[in-house]
Amino acid sequence: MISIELFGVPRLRAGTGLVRLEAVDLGSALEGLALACPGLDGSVVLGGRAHPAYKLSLNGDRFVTEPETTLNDGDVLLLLAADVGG
Amino acid sequence: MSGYHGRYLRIDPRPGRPGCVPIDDRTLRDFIGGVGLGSWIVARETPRGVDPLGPDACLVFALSPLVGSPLTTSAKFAVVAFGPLTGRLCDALCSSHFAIAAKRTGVDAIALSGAFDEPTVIFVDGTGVDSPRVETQPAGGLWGLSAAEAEARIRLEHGAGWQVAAIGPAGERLIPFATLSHDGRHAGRGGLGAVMGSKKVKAIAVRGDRRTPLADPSRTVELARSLSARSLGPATEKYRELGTVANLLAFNRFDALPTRNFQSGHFEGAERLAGHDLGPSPKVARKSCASCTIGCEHIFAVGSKGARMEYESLFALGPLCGVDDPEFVLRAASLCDDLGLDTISTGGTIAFFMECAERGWIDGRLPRPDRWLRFGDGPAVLEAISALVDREGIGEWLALGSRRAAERIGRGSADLAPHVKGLELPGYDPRALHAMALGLAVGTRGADHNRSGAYEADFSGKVDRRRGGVASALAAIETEDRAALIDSLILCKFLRGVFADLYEESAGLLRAVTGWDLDADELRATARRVVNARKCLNEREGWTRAEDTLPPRFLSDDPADDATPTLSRGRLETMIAAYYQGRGWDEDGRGPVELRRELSLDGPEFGPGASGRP
Repeated sequence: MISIELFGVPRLRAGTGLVRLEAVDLGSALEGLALACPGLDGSVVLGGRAHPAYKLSLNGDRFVTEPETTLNDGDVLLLLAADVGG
Repeated sequence: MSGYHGRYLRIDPRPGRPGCVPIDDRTLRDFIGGVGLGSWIVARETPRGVDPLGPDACLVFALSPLVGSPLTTSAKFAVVAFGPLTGRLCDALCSSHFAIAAKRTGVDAIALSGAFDEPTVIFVDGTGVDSPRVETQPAGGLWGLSAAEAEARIRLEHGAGWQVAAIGPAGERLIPFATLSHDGRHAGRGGLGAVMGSKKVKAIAVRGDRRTPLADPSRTVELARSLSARSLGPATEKYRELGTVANLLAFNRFDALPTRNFQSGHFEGAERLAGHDLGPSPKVARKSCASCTIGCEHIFAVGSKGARMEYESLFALGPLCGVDDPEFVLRAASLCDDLGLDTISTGGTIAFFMECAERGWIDGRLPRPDRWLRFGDGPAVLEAISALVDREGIGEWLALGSRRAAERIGRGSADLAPHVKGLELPGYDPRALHAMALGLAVGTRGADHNRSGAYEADFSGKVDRRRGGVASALAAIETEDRAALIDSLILCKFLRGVFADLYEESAGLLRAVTGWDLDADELRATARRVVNARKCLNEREGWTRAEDTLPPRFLSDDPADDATPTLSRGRLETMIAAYYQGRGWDEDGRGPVELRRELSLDGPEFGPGASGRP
């Protein structure tokens, strides 16, 4: 089980700040997220990737983009706007 | 001349000083407009060793070639002077119709020097004349009003064709972090409102009918349409849908949300404060500056009125003071707007006093020593804001800002005062964002997130945000240069995500508006020139290497720790050294004469340079 924490517009569109699901890599996590939160599909999530206007941090340590990125049980993905700050 | 009038207007009540001053084509091309052109005018108009609140200080309102064009977000002006908080060069941006009307007076900038004998309103009228007429009137009953009230009264009495930039009571009372504002938007940082107040100028009203031609009107319109279309895309969605307040929860998650005077980067009340779009306070409107397609301003209900809320105000008056009740934070932000106070410096100074109070360092000086002015006390924040503008009791110390107040308080409080060069830190905890830590330390304006966007590097994934190094320094330089260009054009930084190549596209915009045959490389040099010009002026006014640092609170001797973000002194020093080297400066942070010459900054107005230092 992994967790996806949503911030800003993704949270607004999804109507929740947290989604938990089973996933072995980033691509499957995002596909699962799009299924769980249809409001994100096609705008924030494009297939197995995040839209370029958004980014993902793995456990707050590093930013990840490639669908093949391996996820481990207990990992937390943070989904936020690419334009952080302001 | 396309895009420019080729002159600035000098306003000065002293004999023989006022009038229009020509600006040659080379200078305009070298500095473009906004903070670049404004810095050049301040350099010329301000004598060395100036008191920022003295009559010799010059306050510049600088426009740009893009003002008045159809390009989205181009209705902006820069306000530039030496700042009373820092004694260093300060520039702040503001937006909307004032910029357009000021340019229609027939000048590219207005430079205000001297001081009037009584509170005054200045009218600059460029209607039907070649050179604008300048008239003054006593401010009378306008003195004491908020900037918004003064602006409304002037337009009511003299006509809606006037656009007005004004100060509030904080500027009149020379609070060193007073703002100057127009249409509810503030040139917020560094106390430029106090500079205007020191000249006893309540407001400047402008109108005119002089337009500058576009070199290639059809190409300009084509580029404007493209930029507007992209400005409505996903890159700016955050600003449209939520505004910058959306940063708060994300920063909290990255331990980068300054809390209780930077004692922590994590606030346990963040969800209550901003979890549901500012909790119980309903959003009542969304607004845009003139000529803007983004519309980032989100207005919330506060009692019977509306209040703007931005991330910086939210963090400074909320988590930084330990306050998690959105009602009090909105009221505090609204009060700052009415009084004309920079919310970052206000919150930073109050939070610093809260920590001093909790340590028992100032209780004897508080009006109610029994648990007043403690973290989390929303009503105390409101009282403190009013007290500092009235300069009553502890308010006299609050009105100094955190650096000077620490000198009064003593007891080692200077280690906790949250400032760089006297300017309070914005809402980015430097221990969790090392590139930003460097940007804050070396910023010419002081601790600043608008002139250094180094946090972009920290969140880019290209540098390790908790183990900063040479790559962080190079990234910080790049973000500073980009900001210098954007602030000289002037365009809104919220557009930054829509440019595939900022320099290439900016060159295209300037070619269409001015007719200059310039390219991206020239604009890269221009950006470096603007950054170096500001640094040269700081050197001229006595800057030393010791100023480029962070308060001791942020610096530890411990190695990096994944559990609790830290920043070691050695790491910061390594980044500063790499930054100086990347800028072509010597190890003391001074630009060599050769660099000044290369950037055309070798004139006497920019000071003697490294070889001429005493």
